[in-house]
Amino acid sequence: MTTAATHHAPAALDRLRGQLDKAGFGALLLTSPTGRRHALGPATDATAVLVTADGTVAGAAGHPGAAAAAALRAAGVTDGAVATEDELPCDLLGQHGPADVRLRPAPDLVFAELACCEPTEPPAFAAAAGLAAVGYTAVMDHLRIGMDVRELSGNVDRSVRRAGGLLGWYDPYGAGGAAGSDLVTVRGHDPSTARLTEASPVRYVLHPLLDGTAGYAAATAVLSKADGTLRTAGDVCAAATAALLAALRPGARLTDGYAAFARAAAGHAATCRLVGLRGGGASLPLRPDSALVAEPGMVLGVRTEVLAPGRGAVELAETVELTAGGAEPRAGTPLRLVELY
Amino acid sequence: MGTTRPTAADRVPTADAAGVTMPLVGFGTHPMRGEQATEAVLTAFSAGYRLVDTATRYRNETAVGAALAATDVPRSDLFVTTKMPPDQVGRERLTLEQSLTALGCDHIDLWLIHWPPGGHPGVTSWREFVRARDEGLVRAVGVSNYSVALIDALHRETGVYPAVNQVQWGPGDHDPHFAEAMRERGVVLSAHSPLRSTDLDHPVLLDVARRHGRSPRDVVLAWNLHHRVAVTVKSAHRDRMERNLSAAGLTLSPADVEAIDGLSTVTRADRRP
Repeated sequence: MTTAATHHAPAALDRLRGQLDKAGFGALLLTSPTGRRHALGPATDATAVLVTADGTVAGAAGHPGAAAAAALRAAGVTDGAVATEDELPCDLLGQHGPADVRLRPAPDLVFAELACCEPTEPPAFAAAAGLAAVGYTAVMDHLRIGMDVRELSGNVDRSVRRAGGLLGWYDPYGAGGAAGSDLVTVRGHDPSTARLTEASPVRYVLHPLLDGTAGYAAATAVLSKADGTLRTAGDVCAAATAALLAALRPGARLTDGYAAFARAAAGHAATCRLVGLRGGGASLPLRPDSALVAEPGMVLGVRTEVLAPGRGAVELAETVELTAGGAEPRAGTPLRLVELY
Repeated sequence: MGTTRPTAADRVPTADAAGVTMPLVGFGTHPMRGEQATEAVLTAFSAGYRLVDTATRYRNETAVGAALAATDVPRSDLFVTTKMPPDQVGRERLTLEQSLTALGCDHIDLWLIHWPPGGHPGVTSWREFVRARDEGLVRAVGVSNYSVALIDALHRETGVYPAVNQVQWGPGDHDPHFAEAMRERGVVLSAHSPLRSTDLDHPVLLDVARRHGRSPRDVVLAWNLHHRVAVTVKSAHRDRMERNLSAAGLTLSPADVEAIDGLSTVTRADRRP
């Protein structure tokens, strides 16, 4: 069953409404968890949210297609171009949707909304990133061979409570809806024993929400001196991540960061993504064909990974704020393979 | 000829940390940062603290350095401790140089490995620590959160014991075997978070505190000093700083000490290896 509710857009969405108007859209249909939460807050159960340029917000729960149609009806949108976060099936709205509404993907518009901050927001991101750094320390300082990885969540929990209390945690992959309870996502342990080994790099991601603001950090450590394969992957990942950050300068296209990363990691199996953190999650990576330009005030999650054949991977992440001087890391965790020996 | 009354700093007992005189009561700076940290350290100096404890991890070395620059206490009267985090293995000298720059010092009095890197002794780092000491960049080198076995491994590989081992230590953590092992090796035991594992409402502490007219907190600090364990305490408030420092003047009876020793929750299985 689909139900719809409408209300007036909060001031926080004024900029988005302005962008809609400027881009010639009458409305924006949000269907991703991040987009829906950004518009209606973390407690929403709506599966489709419509934000119109004139200030109406309508949310509806249920099957995405039916919910989208209901949201359009509730907001009184019967025709014209409606922006979407990504390519949506052309028959999403089905026979119940307004016949004259045309869905048009506008991912840059949404990404800009989730990346560009109000002047008061960067300190909140810095605080959230600082919390991620507390979690980083709580893991890094206690790693040892044979350690049961389940201890790590307890360490993070204790440290974070001491640093500021119990906070929310979001799904770093953006696929699971709202906040979760996993304090740290760890990979690299022996799956048969849940214990850390000398040879496999430990990759871990911190993803705290501090008063609804997302922080982001990830690190990779190996509990020995790295061998050639792993050392190479670590060096490449560090260099490529540094190149990506260096490319994120005001006036440059954000995808220049992707290009810089690709150049530095050429010849290796490597991936990177930039995400807008303002929505409280990380589900919307910048598309490779984006034309968005970096500007001061943007806050981004940066995530990079280079495979080490036969040894797993090296994975890094940071919360960066774009300033007039370029990308400023806010978690301050090492953007390199950490060798513990 | 006039006489000078001893100051609070004069009353703080000291230990021999591998030939370096180390105050047994220090001012801890975690988790303060920025101006708050600078102001707190300056207040601590004026209250009589002479040891200030920071770490690369705390991200407040610059703020502590600002206090070192602003105080009129001579640098030679101060004792600066900082720590290298375990994720800096292989980057020891760089880390030290960054600490020296942030602190505005030409030397550090005590440099610790903050945690055993990956649970290993960290021999590679320890060799660099000893080298830095031999070059005069640090006066003493030590470790933090190390077991006896890890300390012995460092000695076995380098012939050098740490001057200090800073661990979580309070009545609840009391382990006479571990303390004796440190003493035998000439390692000064230093307590961080001396109150964390302690139930300050425990009847034994309340009773001792009542009889001495002090707080249980003072009693825990005095108990550490009785055992010649260095304590690092923190507070942003001057009155609390002064109270903590005054614990140096509290003398516990053998019966008091024995009763507090008995609050240990360390079992044979829990002992640090």
